[in-house]
Amino acid sequence: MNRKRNLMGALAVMSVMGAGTAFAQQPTLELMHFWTSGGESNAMQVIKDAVQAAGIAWQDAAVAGGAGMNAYQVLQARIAAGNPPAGMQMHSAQIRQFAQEGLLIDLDAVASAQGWDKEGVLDPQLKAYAYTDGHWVGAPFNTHRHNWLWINKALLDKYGGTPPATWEDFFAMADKMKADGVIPIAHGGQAWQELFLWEAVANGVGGPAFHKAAIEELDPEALSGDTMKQVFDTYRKVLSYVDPGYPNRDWNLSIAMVMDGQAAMALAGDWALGEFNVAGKQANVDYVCANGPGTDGQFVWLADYWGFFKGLDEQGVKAQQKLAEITMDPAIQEEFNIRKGSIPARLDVKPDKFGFCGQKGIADRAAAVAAGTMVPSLSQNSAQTTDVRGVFEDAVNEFANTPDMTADEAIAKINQGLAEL
Amino acid sequence: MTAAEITSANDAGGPRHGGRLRRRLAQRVNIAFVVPTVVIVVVFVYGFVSWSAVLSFTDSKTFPSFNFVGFQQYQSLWSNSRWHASVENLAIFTIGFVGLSTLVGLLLAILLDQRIKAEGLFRTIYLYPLAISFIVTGTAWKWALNPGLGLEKLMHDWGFESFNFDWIANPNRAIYTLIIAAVWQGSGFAMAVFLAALRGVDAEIVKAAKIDGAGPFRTYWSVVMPLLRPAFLTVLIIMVALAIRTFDLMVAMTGGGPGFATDLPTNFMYQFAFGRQRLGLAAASAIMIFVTVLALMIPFIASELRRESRDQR
Repeated sequence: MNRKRNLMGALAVMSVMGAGTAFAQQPTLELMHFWTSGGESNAMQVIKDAVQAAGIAWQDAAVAGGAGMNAYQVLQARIAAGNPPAGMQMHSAQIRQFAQEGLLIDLDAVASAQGWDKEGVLDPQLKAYAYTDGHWVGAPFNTHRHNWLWINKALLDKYGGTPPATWEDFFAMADKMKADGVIPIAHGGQAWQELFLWEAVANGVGGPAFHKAAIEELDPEALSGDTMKQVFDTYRKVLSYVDPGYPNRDWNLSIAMVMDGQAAMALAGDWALGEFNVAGKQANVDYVCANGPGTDGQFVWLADYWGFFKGLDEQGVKAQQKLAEITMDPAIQEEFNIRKGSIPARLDVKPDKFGFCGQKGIADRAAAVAAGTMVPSLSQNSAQTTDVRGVFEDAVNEFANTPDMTADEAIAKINQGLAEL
Repeated sequence: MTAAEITSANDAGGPRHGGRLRRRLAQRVNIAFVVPTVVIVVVFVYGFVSWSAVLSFTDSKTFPSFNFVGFQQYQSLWSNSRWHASVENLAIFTIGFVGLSTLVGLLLAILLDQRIKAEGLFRTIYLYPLAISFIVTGTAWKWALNPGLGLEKLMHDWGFESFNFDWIANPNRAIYTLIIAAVWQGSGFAMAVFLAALRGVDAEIVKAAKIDGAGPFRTYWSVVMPLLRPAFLTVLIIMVALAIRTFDLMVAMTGGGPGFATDLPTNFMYQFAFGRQRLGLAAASAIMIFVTVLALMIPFIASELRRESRDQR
């Protein structure tokens, strides 16, 4: 009896080992990303399923937390050790940076086969990152929009019914709310959220031309000009409408406050849509998605891409290219982005299946691409590299938390920080 | 340290009447046990410290580079207002945390030492916070101190409308909330060390003090406290080290905010190394932390070693 059991055990071990070798013959891609929340991993599942259906094993190397910073820490260490993963989810600035370091494989063959280059497939601004130094290096998943204002529908109806078109309108509405004891704006005092809010103000006050000059080109005149001062002063005023519990509040809690009617409005990118969807809230019934104050016609964007690292064998590279192809497939982009709350990176995906806010986002983007008013986001690493972004983040945060700091002092901080880079 | 102690213990208690060969063999074995630890410490502690020191003199961005730029990174470090804020915060935090938890720990230990009932229960209660991760402590205190959710709201709901405790949201007070949470977690440890030391105090000495007419306060102050000197040293060294490398508590509780009101050098280093592609600057900040720890610890350790060698003589 005993011996028989041993034999069975040995057979079981052997069959497992056999399965292991069969498994190893399948190409495996180790993929690093930081999409670990419910909605995010639900979206990632679309790509995962398609990859596995194509006969490629997906080895998940997700690293949660820190808005991707923890994942980058792991990535940096692994690159330094000469052992990067097969692919990594990246923002615009990083895809360009890693491509320029010569670490990424080029995707030219897939791109030409799938026609990434054709007119009307990708927005030229986004393409400028995916196509760096004459080669395709990034396969974009999605585009997120930055300049949304989320409003509780019942409260909006009570206070005028139309979303504020400018920051002046916003203040007028917020004063009435404050007088009635309603929190006008739900905000979280975390460093990245302060920069996000500041940039939303900058876009509303200065518009795309100012954003381009001051933030993308770091033009000294624009950086120290009157518009910049006005941006800081307006930002100071916006901060006077937050509730005392705002320090270190996570962004999803701000969205929950708008859902519950505790607060009237919140500025957040379309990642907020995922929260509304999970809670079963309806656009134009429970909440309203409007353009951020003063940003009609603008589309402030950020995108995520796959970047694929060099170092795999021929079969591995083929698998990497296959994943790029899957990612850029219109049907995959449609399903992935409906789940994620973003919109497809491809301009040519039909909007029909998206919800109200998704359709509005797609339409607004088409208009902005035509009008040349696409604006890359600073706070989400599309406009600048992380070191430049950090200078803005530090100055904005110091300003936000030092009540007697003037706009001039904040501007001086930015200039000093940029000079030191 | 540990390995060396083991060696000396073996020397003292090892076989004394074996042959010379046997003694020599035993010595070899001892060395063989020590070598791996020494190698690991040399490579992974001193090696990496030197590596950071080298990087702090280069213009490394995302990846290490060997383009040496002298003290430039240190210059930008000390002209960075965020660094100044974090160093100042660390000073306040270290003094507050170490001082308060030593005091609270000592008090608890003395109270527990009065032969009370259910001592085991109290000891466990006081020591329990130590078993919790700093992330949990930080998150729990973040909610408890949030003016809209925690203590302040509770008091308002109970009718104390004028109750006001918004320190965590106040840039001038936030650092003290970090101290509160850390003391809550850390004083149990100090208590355990002091309690062990108190139990080691010879009852005869205490009795002698009583016979000489010393009251309880005088007994503790003049007789027991001096005997607790090694315990104080242990608590101090461990607590200071703990304070300087505080990171997770701050990340979970305040995220360094509001603004940089609770930013600490560890967070500064992490942010600049991994979030900002400024490895050189981050290395410079790491070396500054290291040098500070050395400056604080060397006098302590030196005086302790001197005492030890004096005691041996």
